[in-house]
Amino acid sequence: MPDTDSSHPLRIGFYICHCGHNIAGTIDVASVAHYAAALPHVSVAREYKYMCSDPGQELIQKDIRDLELNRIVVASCSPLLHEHTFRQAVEKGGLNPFFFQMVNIREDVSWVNDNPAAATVKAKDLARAAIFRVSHHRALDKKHVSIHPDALVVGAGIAGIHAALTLANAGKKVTLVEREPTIGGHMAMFDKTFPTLDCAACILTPKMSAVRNHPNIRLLSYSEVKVVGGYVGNYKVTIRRKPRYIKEELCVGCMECIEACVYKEGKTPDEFNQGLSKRKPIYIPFPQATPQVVVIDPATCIEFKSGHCKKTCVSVCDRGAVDFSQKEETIDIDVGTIILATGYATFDPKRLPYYGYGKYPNVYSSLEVERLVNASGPTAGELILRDGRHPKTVGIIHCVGSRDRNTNRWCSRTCCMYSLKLAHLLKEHTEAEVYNFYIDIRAAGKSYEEFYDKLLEENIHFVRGRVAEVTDWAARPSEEGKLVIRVEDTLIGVVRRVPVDMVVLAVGMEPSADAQDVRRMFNISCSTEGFFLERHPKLAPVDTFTDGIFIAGACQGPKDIPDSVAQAGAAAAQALTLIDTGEVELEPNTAYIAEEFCSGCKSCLGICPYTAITRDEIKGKAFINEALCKGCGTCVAACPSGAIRQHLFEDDQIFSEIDGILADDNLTTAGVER
Amino acid sequence: MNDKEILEEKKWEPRIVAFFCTWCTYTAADLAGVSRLRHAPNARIIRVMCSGRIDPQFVLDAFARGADGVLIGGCHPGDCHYMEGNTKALRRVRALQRLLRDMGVHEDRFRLEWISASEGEKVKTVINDMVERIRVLGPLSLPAHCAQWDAEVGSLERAIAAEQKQADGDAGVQIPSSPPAAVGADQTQESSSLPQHHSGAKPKIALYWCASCGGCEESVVDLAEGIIGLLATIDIVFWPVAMDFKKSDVEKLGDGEIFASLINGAVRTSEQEEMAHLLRRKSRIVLAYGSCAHLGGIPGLANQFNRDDILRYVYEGSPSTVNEEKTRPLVTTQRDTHTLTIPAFHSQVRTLNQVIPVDYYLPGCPPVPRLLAAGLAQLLSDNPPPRGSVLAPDTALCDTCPRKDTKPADLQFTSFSRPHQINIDPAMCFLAQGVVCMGPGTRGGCEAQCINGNMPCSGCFGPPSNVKDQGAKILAAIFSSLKAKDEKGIDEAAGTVPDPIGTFYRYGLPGSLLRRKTMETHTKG
Repeated sequence: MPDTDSSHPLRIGFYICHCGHNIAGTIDVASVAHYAAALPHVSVAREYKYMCSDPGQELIQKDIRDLELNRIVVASCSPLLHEHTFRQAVEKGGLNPFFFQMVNIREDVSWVNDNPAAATVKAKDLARAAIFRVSHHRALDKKHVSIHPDALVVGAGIAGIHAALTLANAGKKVTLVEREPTIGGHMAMFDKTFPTLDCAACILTPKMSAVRNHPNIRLLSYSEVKVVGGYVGNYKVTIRRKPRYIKEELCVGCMECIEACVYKEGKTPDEFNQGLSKRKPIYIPFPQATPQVVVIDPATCIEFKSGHCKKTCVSVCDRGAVDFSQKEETIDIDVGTIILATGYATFDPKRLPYYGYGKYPNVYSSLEVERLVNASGPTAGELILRDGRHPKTVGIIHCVGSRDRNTNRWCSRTCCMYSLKLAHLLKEHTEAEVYNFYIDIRAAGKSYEEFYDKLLEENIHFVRGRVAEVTDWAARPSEEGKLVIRVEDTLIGVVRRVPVDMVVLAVGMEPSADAQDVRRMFNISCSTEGFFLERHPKLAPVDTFTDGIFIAGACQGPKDIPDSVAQAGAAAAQALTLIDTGEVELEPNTAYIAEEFCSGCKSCLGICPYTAITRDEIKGKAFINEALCKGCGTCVAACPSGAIRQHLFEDDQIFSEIDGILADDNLTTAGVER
Repeated sequence: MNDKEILEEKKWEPRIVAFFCTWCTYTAADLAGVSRLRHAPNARIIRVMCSGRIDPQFVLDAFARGADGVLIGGCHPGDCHYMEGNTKALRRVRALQRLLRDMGVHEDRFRLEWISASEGEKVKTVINDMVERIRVLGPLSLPAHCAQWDAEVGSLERAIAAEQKQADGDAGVQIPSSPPAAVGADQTQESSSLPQHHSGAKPKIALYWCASCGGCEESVVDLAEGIIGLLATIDIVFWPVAMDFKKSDVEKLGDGEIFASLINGAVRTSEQEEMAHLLRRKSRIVLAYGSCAHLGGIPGLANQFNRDDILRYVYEGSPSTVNEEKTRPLVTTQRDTHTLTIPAFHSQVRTLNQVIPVDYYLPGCPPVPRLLAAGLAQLLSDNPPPRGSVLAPDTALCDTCPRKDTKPADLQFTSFSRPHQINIDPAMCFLAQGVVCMGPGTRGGCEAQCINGNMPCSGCFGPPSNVKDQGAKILAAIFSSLKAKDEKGIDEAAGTVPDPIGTFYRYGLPGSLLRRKTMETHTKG
């Protein structure tokens, strides 16, 4: 007979939820309840429209009191959704919350079956398994851990910056880690922002300097997170600081060293300007870079390559900030919560060779054009093409690497609007004829449609159709020396050839190249397309499946600036909620040693990934440090003498579940006995 | 009931037990639901935190209880929420797949799939595919087969009884008419109504051997002078090996008159079964003595073959046999006016408790005299141990192993050697030398005799009480600590264990969860 953990006989309450029509529409809930009522030790079996509602929960609590139930089984949705809800209800009813087992008959049964008879059979099997299992449940204490009040924000684009500032303004200490030498992310590269056309720098740089000056923010630029350990409330993070070869605390950003560099001209493609200009080995990404500190690139610096440089940078710096001996630094921090705002990558248009990017010099990616039209860009805002001409006609091709089965299926959400913006800016800068080649114009944001309307009045041309090809092959004299855009104009049903001087590819947004590595390091999941996966697409959009880790900005999916900022605020609020609660409840699913059965064989010692198992040399037996154990149960499966056990996932509980699933109708022989 | 009847009568549907890790595959199954991806309703999911929690015993237990397939779902390699739990799962699964193949379970019935939280679609395709493959194979139905095997024993006996009746008129030996209910090896019987010996006359003791080598009898003699003291306190009423008592002497005793019967050997023939029943009826206590009675022992390894194959090999196929007429022994033979009867050979080897209820177990091949003496003393005392007890320590052998301290904490196996293949360091843990040692999953109490003889433990004392299946557990322990992380490396390392059943179930195949090789993939002829 099952271990009742007390002298009381088992009295199980079984509740099956209709979930409106979601469950009851497929499963014969009355039949399941009737079936469960006849199973051993079941005192009451009820059905109810919405078990998770207050009346549903009160039903359980009332039965616990009136019928002296001591075990509860609820058949409803996934335990990942409502296990906590029902445990709380059980606890409020006066029972230990772990005398509860949930049956997933919605996600796992009614939503994946359209045969009511088969679904009902499956629901009965699962209900029986849970009823068998709950008999073996033991009372457990909840496990609480305190939340370290400091937070880590990874990535200092607009989302990371906003999240860090929100936390810091709430009085929390924040470490903000940015991989690049400057914060600002993609937004710092943009010229103006849709639909308001305010300049990106004007609205971003004040926030960047606020980060720099905030007493609660420790900014670690040119740094990367290397190792993440621990758990919610108690993460231990190792950060690698790449050497700048400049003492950050001494550099004032006067840039005289850059001027003095033995290289008179830059020779390295400038990353910030998308390679449209050249930089020196000693450089600052852009004038408003934050921190306002130069950086030396050892790959191109003569001193690093040969050791025989005149080091004019050293001699010109009266503060002695240049330091060629700087080494990589490792910083360990303890934080309670982490916000990931690691951003996105732009689609590489070389993957679509028929658009001629990299082949025809006057084919540009949209991000390059952002720099080209920018007053602080490589051409100081003057639109000069790679061949030195000024464009008289420009074609903007939408959905490059978006909404395409061959590349990325998703809509990148921002391209329509930034293409409209670029159309406006290009027209403004050059007076050129501007064509937009689009599939659909998606202007679904506040004031976005109005912006589109405005553009229509600005004499911008719109051609509806996915562009087939960009070519320099002239079919007629008027196309000589031009790039020809071939497209089917689907509104009039003709194939058109549009000769232009400049082609802009509106590239889509993709997960960062190392998103998978980042996700592994932080132990979160990615969706199919590779963006970080939120805990729930609607109800927990900034949470992840790992408690204490939140996501914000385009690392979660394509997003424009307002949405990124909104999400960053939400992520900060979620982190603040945790921090201010001060502690969090953990699943008490740790492993433990039944000492009398442990032979000290050491089979478990090397298996624990968290080194939670050590050997008590005096007793000659294994010892599990509960604080380090994360409850995976690997050691439990590996213990050859069954001496390691796991709360909530005890052997007898799982065996009874197997038994319940397969017990079928011969309950008397294969049932709860054994 | 055969497979076809099961199919027709119950409208058979494949039953799959699926163990999914909560972080990836369970979440993917939820996603399949949220996305309304319809799939076959045959899988029943059991959620665990990590695929690393999945004990090979769970898989075997699921099959033993009637699953037609077992599916394990975990995070993709490198994605484990617990760093490498899925790698450990992979190692165990590869080893278990090989074991199941040897046990005759078709490979399509046991499957491991990496399904990430975003792959709801894959949950659907994997389950649908598995259901279709199993539908082609038909039911595995191990519980039904067990019942069939047990029923076959009964029917054989009925056939013999009928033959004898015909031959001898009504004077034939009484044979139980119905097969006994199979009792699980892990039975926990009620501890009430313990048969206690009441002082007065000396308690009567019977000893009997079934399918065994005789070593257990030797071990009784190994009590040496101790046996003289023992004989002063007990009265031996039956011991065919050493004393001239007949079966009829036992039959004359009243039911329950024998205080304790010590039965060694597994049960393979009708004679052994008959004697087991007789002694059970006459005894207050039945003690399964030694590995064979306890878990099946070495004779139990014959459960890898079926009855016909064994008889064909022994009487026709073996190299030293010349038998052109293909003569086989018959249970009854008419010779002139005499009818000769020999015991029937059952289709499988069974442990004693699969034939009759057993009160106590004394493990070992053979049991050590000290445990026998202590066990008898316990049984004769006023405070005998609870029924169902195994009269040996419940901690594994490592606890008392003289080489315990030489085992490193972070063993990583790359390959395994058999004892004769290497020079074994007599002071070093066998596992540390890459020799499979069953010590970590075997009860102690044997005085580490094999270890002291520089041979690894081969498991004769059986598993501790928290283990249902000794072989599965030791396999889990050893293969969790392989160095290899990929399938190829794992298979190479596992391949250096040439005979998994003979290694991990040397003494316990009939008492294990699967009991015997299923003849599903057995090619007849």
